[in-house]
Amino acid sequence: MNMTDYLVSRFMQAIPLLFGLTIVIFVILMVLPGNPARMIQGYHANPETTAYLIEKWGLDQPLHIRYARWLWGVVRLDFGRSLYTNRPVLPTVMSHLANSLLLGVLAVLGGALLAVPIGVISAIKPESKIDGISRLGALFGLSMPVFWSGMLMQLFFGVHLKILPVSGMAGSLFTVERLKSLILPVVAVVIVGAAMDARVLRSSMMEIVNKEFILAARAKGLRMRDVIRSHALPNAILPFFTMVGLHMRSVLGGLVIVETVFSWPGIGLLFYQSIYNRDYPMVQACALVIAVGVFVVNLLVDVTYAYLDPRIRFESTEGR
Amino acid sequence: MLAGLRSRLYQVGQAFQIFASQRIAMLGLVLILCVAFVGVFAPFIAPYDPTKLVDTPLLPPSREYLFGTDQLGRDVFSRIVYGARVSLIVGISAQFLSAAIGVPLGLLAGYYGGRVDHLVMRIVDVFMSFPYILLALMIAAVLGPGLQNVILALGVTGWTTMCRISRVQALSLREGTFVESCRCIGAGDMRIMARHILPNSLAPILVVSTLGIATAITGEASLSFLGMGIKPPEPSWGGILSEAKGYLFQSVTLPVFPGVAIVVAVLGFNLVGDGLRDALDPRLRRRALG
Repeated sequence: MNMTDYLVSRFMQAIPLLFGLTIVIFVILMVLPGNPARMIQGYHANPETTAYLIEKWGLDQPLHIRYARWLWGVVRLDFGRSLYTNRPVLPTVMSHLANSLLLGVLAVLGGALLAVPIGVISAIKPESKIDGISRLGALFGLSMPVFWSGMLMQLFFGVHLKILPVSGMAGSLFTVERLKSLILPVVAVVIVGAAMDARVLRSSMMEIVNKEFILAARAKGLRMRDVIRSHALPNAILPFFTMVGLHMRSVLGGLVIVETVFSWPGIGLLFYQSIYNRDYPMVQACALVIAVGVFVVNLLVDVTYAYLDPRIRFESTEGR
Repeated sequence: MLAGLRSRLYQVGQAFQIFASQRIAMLGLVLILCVAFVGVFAPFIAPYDPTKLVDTPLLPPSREYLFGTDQLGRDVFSRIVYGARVSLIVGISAQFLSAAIGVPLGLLAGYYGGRVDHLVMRIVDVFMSFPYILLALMIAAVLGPGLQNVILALGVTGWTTMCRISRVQALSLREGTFVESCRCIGAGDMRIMARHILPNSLAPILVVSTLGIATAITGEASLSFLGMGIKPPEPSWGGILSEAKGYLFQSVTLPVFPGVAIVVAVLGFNLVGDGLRDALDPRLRRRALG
């Protein structure tokens, strides 16, 4: 099986998955109490206007008709208009997605930059100080809710030291203000995964370091640094990578909470606010984008995995 | 019969010895017991009514109010003490619900294989393709805030891990000779699953459940933090943090204590889960993440 066939088959598998997910989300939303047609008018709800809006938005139609309509729109990349702002959904979702991507990509890079050295050092020198600190960090990273660590950082860096903005996205792209407002949310996301990832890397490194080919590499006179870099790490990185892929789903879930804590205008904040506003088209679009995001991340992990490990020839995609 | 019981007891005793030999797992057990004690005896420990206003808002910690007062003037210590109750009830019940959905589905899928397996696993895939907390958030928004609704939202979305672990168990156990001999003496599929495969799968299910309680407690805190969890006058750790969020500039201590409480409870269940895994099944070395 070559790369193109593999990608095509993965996409074919994703379609029923996304289909199933949109149905689940659609059904959940439809039983959501609170009539958006009335809520949008605030205190001065007028029965006539409500009836008009219900008809205009097709809320009186049966569920399957509404789903089919929505799906037909999605196929043509028409996600409808926001019930709240009456603007088209797609541009709003896209601009929020860009903000989330900025946050997410930086967090993943930051996490890797932190996790790889820590994992390697604690594998080479088990029971050392760094090993102990990373073990403790993993325990707390796993048990600390992301909104709490976020709040503590707001309190310390924003309120106490006053060196970083407490929340919000400041300035335009590539400015110091923007960078400053990014620091706290990125660190909050990184904390969740990095410590755990370092532990995973440590355990897979420990297994590799005791293998005979490492001994052989040392025996032929390679420096420890080179052995680690070109023999141990490439082999240890594989199980690490699977783990990071598994994490991604919870990292994406954490991203939503981080965005609400820091009022970061990303897809997660939009999703949360849209649920609050009963803005159905927006919620559906956000959910679809997030699900596609999970799929793309998993796909990237798998493809990189295959690239890193030539033994995997995309023979089977079952059992993942 | 008696011999069987004795060997069971011996196994449990041995597992407990391994568990008890891990200092860090015992620490986790102590943490859980502390939280449970506080939760059960909340009315005797809390000095004030957690929903009553007792003094000026946003007082710093003092002898009278150990953790200070919140933005309305309620005693934060009493609220956290009662919050332990909420956290434990939600965590344990949501995990029970997850197990009640996930374990039977997983056993069916693993035991029968084929079409049943395919169908169940595709449903699991659908749920796994979306962050669990977001799905729970949507369901909680549908149902409205409240204790039962939070349990329902977390339970209905958190069953996939349970399903996967019990499926894997059934998948490997159904090939065992003891299952074959059961079938020879005429036992039905249901009986084999309930009386033979399930008891033999209990160890990994117990491990994953303990870790699942930790996840559910974090889930409850997150939902309450986002305003879709426990109804506001009722004390909940996530809810206190959510209220504290608006007063970061006025009170330094308000956001600290509820977070510590969450970490203690979640850490406790995580540590015990890890310890149980080492004690019950050394093969389950890697953590099952959901």
